[in-house]
Amino acid sequence: MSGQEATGSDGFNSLLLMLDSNREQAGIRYEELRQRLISYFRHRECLTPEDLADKTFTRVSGKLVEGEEIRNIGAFCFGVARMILKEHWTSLNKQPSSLTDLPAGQEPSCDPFRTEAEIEIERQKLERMEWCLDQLGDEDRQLLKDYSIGANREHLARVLGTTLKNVRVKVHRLREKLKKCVEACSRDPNAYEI
Amino acid sequence: MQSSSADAEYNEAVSYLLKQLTEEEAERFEENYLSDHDAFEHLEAIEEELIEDYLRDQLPGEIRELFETQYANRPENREKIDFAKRLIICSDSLPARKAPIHISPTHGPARLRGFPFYSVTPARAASIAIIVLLISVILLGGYLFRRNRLAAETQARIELEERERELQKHLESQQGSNKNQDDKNQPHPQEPRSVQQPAPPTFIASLRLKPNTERGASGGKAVSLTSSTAWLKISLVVSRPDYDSYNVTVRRPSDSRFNFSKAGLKPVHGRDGLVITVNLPAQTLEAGLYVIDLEGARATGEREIAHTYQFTLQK
Repeated sequence: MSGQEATGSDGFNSLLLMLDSNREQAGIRYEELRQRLISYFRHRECLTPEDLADKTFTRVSGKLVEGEEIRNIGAFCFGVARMILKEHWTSLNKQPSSLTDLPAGQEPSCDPFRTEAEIEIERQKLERMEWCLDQLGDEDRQLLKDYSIGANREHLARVLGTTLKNVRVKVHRLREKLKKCVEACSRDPNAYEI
Repeated sequence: MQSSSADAEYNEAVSYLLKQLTEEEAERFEENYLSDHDAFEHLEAIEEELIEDYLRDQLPGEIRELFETQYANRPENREKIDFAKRLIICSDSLPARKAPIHISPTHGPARLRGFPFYSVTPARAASIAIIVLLISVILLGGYLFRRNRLAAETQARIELEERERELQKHLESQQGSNKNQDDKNQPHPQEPRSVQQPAPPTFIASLRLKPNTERGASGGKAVSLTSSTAWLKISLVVSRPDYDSYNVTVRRPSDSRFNFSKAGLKPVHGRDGLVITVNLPAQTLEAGLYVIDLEGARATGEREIAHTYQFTLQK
């Protein structure tokens, strides 16, 4: 193992330890924090939010190796992410990004019509979504539908005996479950588990 | 009852998503959700709700306009919007529940009442309901149309295959009973009418092969080709989808000269999993046993035989 790799590994271990003393829980916290960072960069109109989130972790890990004392890891990550965002914007101003550098699917298209292949891909995605919806329980599936229609969500929450915020988060978790199922199906059609 | 603080939370999140907060307010909001996973989940939930309300045309005019100019036009949000579209299409096609949750008449979602741009009148609520209904009908109609078309195509293919089999049987019986007759003779008056019509010039015979499961004792599945069959379409069911691409080789053990191969194939989703399809020109195929090797290739250059299939061709 090279010195740099060892340092990176030490920093990452320190970061996990900061998140939770239990390694498994730390992994979950890490993934949650990564999702929040990705969301932050996405809302700040960055085209490569995943890369910037990982860059944030690399820098935070480096700070930990240097012995920096961190009391609130979330707040510290936010501070680092803000710095990285500023650097990102500065670099964009200096160097206009090329269209060919855009991630797949985000490049502008000169043809507004879908090709046959794109229609086929979309049809497959719909099939997977339909399949994954079928895997949800009847109640969950109906909740997704009722909430989506949105005639009176507060009334729906009252009927379910909870608050609107709780129903909203429950529906969000169901969508996340669906998203994971759809992703799993697209990677491996035999892994149709939810 | 939803408290006004919850409404305020909702409105702040919507303002953040639609870029209506000052930089200072946005940073405070971001610091909160980056440190608190519950706050982040709530923001995500509101974002998804906002997208669905937009797609169902349930957003008030000014918020709708902001959504289009500040959110929907950004490529990094495209994935979320596409996911919501698919979810709406699929969930709207679900059958209605037996005992629906009773939704009382409303003057609009209360969460938006406190929002500076929002005011709902009964007339607006009615027009929103009509628009939502229309969009739902259009989305559902489009989806059902595609499904029906697919079913009709499948049916047509099955009918075509049946007709081909009938023709094949008829030709075989004709060859047996009329060996000495001139080929140009008129068909027997009692023969099926379909034989009297000129056969379409391009029949496609279909064959679906599963690895190791549909092999018979000798030669696996059998397929009959007639002189009017132009193509043999072979669908190979792939049960090991863990390769980057696939190479197909069709060979005849009895004739080493015959070798058809195609590389760099990607499987597509069929009714029973992943399928790779190859089309062989029927006129070049002779009767006998055929073996198909499906080779899986990885990006590293590594290759191995993933599956072997076989079938017997009759002419």
